[in-house]
Amino acid sequence: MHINTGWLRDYLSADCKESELLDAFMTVGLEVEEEHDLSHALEPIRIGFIREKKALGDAGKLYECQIEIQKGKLITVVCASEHPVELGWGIPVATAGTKLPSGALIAEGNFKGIRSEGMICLDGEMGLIARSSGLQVFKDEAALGESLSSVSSIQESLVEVSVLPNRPDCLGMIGVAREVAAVLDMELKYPSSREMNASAQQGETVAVEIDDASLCTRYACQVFDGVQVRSSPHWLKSRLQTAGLRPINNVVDITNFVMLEWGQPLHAFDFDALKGNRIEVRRMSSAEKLKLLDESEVDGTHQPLVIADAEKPIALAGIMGGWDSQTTADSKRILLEAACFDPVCIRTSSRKLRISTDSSYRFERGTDPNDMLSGAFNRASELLQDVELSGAKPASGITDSYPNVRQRTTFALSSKRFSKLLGTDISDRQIEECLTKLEMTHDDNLTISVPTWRVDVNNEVVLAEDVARLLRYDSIKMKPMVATTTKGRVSETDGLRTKIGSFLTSNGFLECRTPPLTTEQIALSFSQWQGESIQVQNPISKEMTTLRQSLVGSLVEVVERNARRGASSFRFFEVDRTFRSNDNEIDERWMIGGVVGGAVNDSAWIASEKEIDFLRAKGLVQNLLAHLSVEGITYESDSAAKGYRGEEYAVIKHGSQRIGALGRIDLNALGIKDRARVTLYGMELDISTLMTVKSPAKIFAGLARTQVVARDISIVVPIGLRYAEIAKSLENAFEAAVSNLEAEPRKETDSSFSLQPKLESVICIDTFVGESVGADAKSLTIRMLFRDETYSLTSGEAQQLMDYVVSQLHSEHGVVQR
Amino acid sequence: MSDQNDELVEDALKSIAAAETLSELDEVRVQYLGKKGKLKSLQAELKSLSPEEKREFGKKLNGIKQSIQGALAEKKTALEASENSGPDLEAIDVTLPGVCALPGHRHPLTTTMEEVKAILVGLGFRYDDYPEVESEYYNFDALNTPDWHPARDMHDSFYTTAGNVLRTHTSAFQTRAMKNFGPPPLRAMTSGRCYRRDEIDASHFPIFHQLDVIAIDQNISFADLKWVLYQLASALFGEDVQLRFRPSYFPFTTPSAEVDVMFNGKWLEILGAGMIRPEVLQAGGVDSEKWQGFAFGLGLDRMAMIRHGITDIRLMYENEEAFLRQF
Repeated sequence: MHINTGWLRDYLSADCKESELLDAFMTVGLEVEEEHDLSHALEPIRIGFIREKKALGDAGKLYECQIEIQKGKLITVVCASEHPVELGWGIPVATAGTKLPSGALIAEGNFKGIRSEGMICLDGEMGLIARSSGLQVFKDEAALGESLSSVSSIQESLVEVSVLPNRPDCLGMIGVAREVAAVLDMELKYPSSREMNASAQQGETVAVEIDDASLCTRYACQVFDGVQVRSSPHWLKSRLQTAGLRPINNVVDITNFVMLEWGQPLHAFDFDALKGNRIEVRRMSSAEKLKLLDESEVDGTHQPLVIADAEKPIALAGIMGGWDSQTTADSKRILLEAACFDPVCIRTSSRKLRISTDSSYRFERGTDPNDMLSGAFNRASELLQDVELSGAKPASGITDSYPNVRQRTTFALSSKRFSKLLGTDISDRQIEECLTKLEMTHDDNLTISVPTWRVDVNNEVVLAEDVARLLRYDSIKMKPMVATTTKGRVSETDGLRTKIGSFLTSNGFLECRTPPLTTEQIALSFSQWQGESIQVQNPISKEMTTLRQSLVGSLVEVVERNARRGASSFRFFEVDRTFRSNDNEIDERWMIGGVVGGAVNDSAWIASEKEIDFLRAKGLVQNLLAHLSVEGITYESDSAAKGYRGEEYAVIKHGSQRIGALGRIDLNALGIKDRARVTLYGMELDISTLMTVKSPAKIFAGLARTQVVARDISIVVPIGLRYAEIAKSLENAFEAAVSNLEAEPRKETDSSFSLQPKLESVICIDTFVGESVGADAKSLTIRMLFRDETYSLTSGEAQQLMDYVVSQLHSEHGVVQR
Repeated sequence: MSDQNDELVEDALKSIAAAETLSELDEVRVQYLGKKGKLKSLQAELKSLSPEEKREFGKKLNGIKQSIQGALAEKKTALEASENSGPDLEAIDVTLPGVCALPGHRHPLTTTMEEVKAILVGLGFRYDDYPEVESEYYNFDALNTPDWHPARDMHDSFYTTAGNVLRTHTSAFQTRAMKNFGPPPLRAMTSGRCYRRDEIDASHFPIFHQLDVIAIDQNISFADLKWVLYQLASALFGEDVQLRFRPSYFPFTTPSAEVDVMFNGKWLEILGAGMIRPEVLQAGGVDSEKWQGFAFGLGLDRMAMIRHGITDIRLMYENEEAFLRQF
């Protein structure tokens, strides 16, 4: 809502500085989107002098003017003849490309083949309220080319206020002025008395029938005769223009002006277009049709509330008037209407019909049925009768249907309660003073009566807010919170997520934030868990339709984006939720996703040719899991999820529980062009499962002081035999070997003793496939570390153990030592 | 004899001084002190002298030898020093970059989120996760925003085909937390993704991050809210941070405030706050006659952008290396 401060001052009892006024908006809680100090904002408007003027076309509605905008420079401007201009006048001109404070951009136009290079600006168009003719005219040639603000004293601002949905009473100048006056310690100056003059019954009578009083709280109307429909005076037109409304004719302008002033929409029907001196407020029947003011047509499908005469709908209640009953230049008698509708009813119709207007916007937030008549209707009636405007005369009494009068609500307040809520001492006196400024009344026991325009006051806490606002929030001093101690902590999973993030960044990974709402293709790729996908029913683009089931797809897109920018090695991760639904149960699963590829060490300026491969990627996962104290992990071949390549893919398990996957990414399957040109590996781990399997705090295992024995064995095994299986056999064989071990005598002991060497580690240190080992075999070198905790083993004992292990491996798998 | 000897020393010192390289110097050494050197030939004269003369002459010879040796050593040190002033091939240039992997980086959004969380944990707030795919009830109705309420216009929501809403704000956690953790005192928070059908531009992205907080006890007041917000803001923006509280409107808090921070000479809106509405406490199963409390919520994207001077929200979701490596 655009508010011209000059207009706003019409309703304030005292003068104040412009800056105080602007501060007051914020202090009181009116959200200022933008404020334009017009003396500054109109800087680009220049004074140009009209040097030539000729009618354009036959209709006489347009003029082509040559305007000198600076010494010797003429531009052509086509202007409407509605506001006359004369040769030799200096007038404010905006050249094409100028932006007006209202936000409108002046563009070059083309009228009947004439190029118009600017616009002659009326006061209202510039956001100013008119002081005289609505067009500022300068006769002194010295003004030529000068900025408007330098030759005309401008003290107004145009403020763009967004009125929050709880305060529809501020959708009118009076409501805003009331708030501003309260904070500036002024009085609100009403533009007209709010006393109804009992008008004698005269001429016409109009019956009003409200079908359902719950949908229409109040409906009032009155016939006016002798209306002279014409252009409005400049003070009125310019005010409408500052608010962004287009002047139409005095009758329509009056209803719009009163809406802007009181926040109460009004409507004027051409009374002679109505049938049967009867107004009905009812639902539209499905067979009916209504052509609206914007020339669109609605039917009765949604049964919106309508205003009807004795025969047919004549307006869409609270939203828009009908075409056939609109006020035109020929109208002689009009029916002025004011009503108060149920907000939900108007909101529902407006949403279903997809029509939103200044009127519906106000009704759906709630209007005041009391001020509706005494305030808005009364004011419009006065303006209609004003001879300067339309000089109309009442031709009927006011028909006022108001079945259930809305009473002011009351609240019994307690200053103790307010003090406790606000955390500062508030007295009865302060409460009374503040609320009185908002036209609330009170009795001696602090029972407050709230005006009916305050539709938001449904709880005493709202009044506490009013008091706090008017005392100013800044006056409430903060104080250290004294309350019961509570335990601050992050959740266990959140702690784990932080740990994961720091581990991965320490390992050169870049953390990403990618949108969880993505294409169906990306959302469902790499998904390892069963579940239906979760789709959005009202996406804003086809790039964001489905909640992802895996993080890897989005990370592959990140790789591609960076590859386009020339990157050649990649380490990205993200920790986020994935989504699926099982029997309508939504499963939001936290995952770690990672993608790696390219050089192992990409910043090493000492050349390193090595690239990330499966085992290096697996190494990263292993270290991460070790860092998280997750033990007993196995990696198994399995059929790969979509997006991974089967030959380099492993399911990561803990016992029988799946905790994640690791594999080479198949860009073809994703339909992604391979720009990275490196082998990419994706990995994903389920954090919620990790939580359940991670080990508790580790227990110290003691330190062995005897010497560790290292032995390597090189063996040739069938090519299909997996390392994990060999390692398992090897461990078992070692255990058996220990039970068969014969200790050699030692100097330091005579008594018999037994050795219990333990295998401390088994690591594969080399693999080899080639002709020398045969086509269906591979060679492995495995290093074993073992020791006895009490005695250092002799080489003979070590040899016994190794011999046993080798023979055991041979008999089990046909393994031979090289 | 004596003159002869003095001459010899003089010549030797001259030759030493004239030597320009170590090898030239060595030639001089051989010439005087070598096996067939001039000193050796003088020594040969010893044989023909009386024992007394021998002692005398021996002393002299020694003196000659020492002065020549001294001069040689001095010259050698000088020559070595000048020859070593060239590059020492074994010395390492310690200013060369270390050999290491490129460091990883956290995303500015997560670091901001973690920093805010850590401050609040210190103030006794518990952090938990809550659903992103949320029911309309928790996202709106329980927060005093029934279906017909015009405040719903402020949130253009995504709905799933099953009729759930993607949470439009983390405030959706409020009544869940009240129900989960039973009767107050309670201090709880959550953070994470929120979704609104906003057109993408420099300051809007349909998926963004918020952090929401509630504190409920018997006497927690608006003054306490201000205190907690100052603690948070001073931890993020420095001890002398300036905040501004403006009246505002949220359906689930009254009094409500928008809070601005003074940053680089400008007021920037950073969060919304207020006292929890009695209706919301009731929806969370908390007796509003007995308990009261505050709630606040902040936009983490905006917070991260302010702190790091990021001018376009889209950069945070494009994940370009050149961007990520800056934080």
